[in-house]
Amino acid sequence: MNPLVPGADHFLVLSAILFTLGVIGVLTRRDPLIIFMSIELMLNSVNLSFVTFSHYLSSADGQVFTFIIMTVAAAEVVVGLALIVSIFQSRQEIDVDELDEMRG
Amino acid sequence: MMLVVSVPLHVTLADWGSILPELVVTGGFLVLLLADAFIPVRRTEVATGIALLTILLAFLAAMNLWSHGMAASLYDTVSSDKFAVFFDFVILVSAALTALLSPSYIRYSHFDPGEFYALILASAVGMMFMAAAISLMVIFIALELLSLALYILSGFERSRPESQEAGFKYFLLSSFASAFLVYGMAMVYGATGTTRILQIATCLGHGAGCSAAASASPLLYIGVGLMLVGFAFKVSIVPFHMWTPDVYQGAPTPVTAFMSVTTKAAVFAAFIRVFNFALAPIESHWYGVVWALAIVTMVVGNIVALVQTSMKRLLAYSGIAHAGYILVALAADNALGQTSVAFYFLAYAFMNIGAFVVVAVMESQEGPVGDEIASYRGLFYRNPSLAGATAVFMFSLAGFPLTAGFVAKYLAFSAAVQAHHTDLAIIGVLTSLISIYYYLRVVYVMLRRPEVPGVQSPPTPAAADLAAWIAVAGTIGLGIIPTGFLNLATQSVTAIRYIFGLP
Repeated sequence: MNPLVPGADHFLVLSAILFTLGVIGVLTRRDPLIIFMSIELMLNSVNLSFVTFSHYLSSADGQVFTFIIMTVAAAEVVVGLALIVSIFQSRQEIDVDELDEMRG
Repeated sequence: MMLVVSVPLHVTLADWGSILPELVVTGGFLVLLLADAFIPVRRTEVATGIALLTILLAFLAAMNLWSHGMAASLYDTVSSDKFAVFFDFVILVSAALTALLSPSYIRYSHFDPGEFYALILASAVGMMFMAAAISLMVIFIALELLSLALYILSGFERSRPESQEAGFKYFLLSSFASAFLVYGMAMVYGATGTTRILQIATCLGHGAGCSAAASASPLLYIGVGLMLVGFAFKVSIVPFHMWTPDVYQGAPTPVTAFMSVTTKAAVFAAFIRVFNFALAPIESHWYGVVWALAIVTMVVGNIVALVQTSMKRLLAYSGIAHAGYILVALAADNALGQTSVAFYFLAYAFMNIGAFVVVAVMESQEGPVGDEIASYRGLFYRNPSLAGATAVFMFSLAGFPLTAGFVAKYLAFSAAVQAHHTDLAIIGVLTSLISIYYYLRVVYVMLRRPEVPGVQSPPTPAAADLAAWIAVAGTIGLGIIPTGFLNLATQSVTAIRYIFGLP
């Protein structure tokens, strides 16, 4: 394989790197908005995988799945931001480490 | 490059008929939302009535589908086989019990009944689709539908910080797990070239319709591992259970009651379709991991439950332990195992929601302390019928004979023995023995003399009382004469096994 022409492997590795960055973001950051963005990054890296597979397998399923994930991600934004706003209204701070009313 | 569309693009009336129960519930959801916006239905009774009527109609539609189901409809993405319909029954019964236990709690915590029931129904639609899904796409979208509604429901009691915290924690951790699940689905799709469960099974079983190397591809195994993480999180299997106690404790009690049974039922139905059918040809590769997860879940769930002082947290750890028992049945990967999972959820719907009915009644009568096990002291003298019902649920959850819990556990462990996994059955029985301690402790606390003798509890609200009696009847009925329902569960499993060409 010519290393200068991107192939399926390159896209899949890029997708894996983006997914890992998302996981690291979720595990290390404390601002809910950043955690939330990291989850979106994970979902979008999955989209990249699906589109890659769809292209190299000549199958439409992956493209359809990508649209579904995009729609679901949008719905998650709505619910997630609503929950964050609702918490912010009552506490004026949104550090996840402060959300410790319950032992867990 | 040309993309291949393998199915003809038309949908017949029969396709819509095969998802009729889901459509009915969706209709009920829309009616509730509209009614909430246009007529001021602040009256809890009206909203409860609409919800119960919807559930009843969906139940009738599901009964009709029992004998007229289709193995695959809507471009081979949804199946209305008896297995899916059986789980529809479990989900609808749970939703009905939840609707009965909610009114007193809604009045106690002053939230909007219309939106509350609308979200319960929306979540039920997701669950029913999840049980019927035969495509990874539908599994994902159904899972998100049920989860999104439950995130909002968990944080529904906005005046209580614990509820907001529960909603937010559930949201963050659950979407994190969804990302793993869907990444796993992408890998499996990459290895097999399809997202349809039937085709994945054919591909891995006979190497037909996909590249012969699919079952040797590392992508497949990474994908299966990631999907296992996603599913394990949603059914709170140790070590992915950390969210469960906090969310169960923080969420409004009717929501906890609903989600503790139905989410597990829906996700386990999809879990079985994917792991016991699509991935059955590579069982030797995933069995070891599921074996370890089942053991850790049973041990940790039961041991941590021993030290709980909150009833909802106790039931959360009990739920984790029960997920472990059900995982034993799934690991058995035989007809008896699948039958026992289906029967287990029917039994679990009655006994677990029943236990939460008691918590909801206690909370609406005594405030937040109603969740503390200590506040159950002397309940036998204050409210004998409620205490009697609690005792039945505790005996059943512990697995005493003549209760539904015993039959369910017996089936799950005998499936493991039949599949020569005797080790799992033995650990299951031993951890069940540990569980007797914490379930009976609740009964013991209720039997102790009250601190202030002679005080009677206010009467249990009629609807919650009805829910408790239905749950008691179900728990004892399934324990004494399980044959009829067991027969239905067996039929449902025979139907799904026939579709996948298994005896």
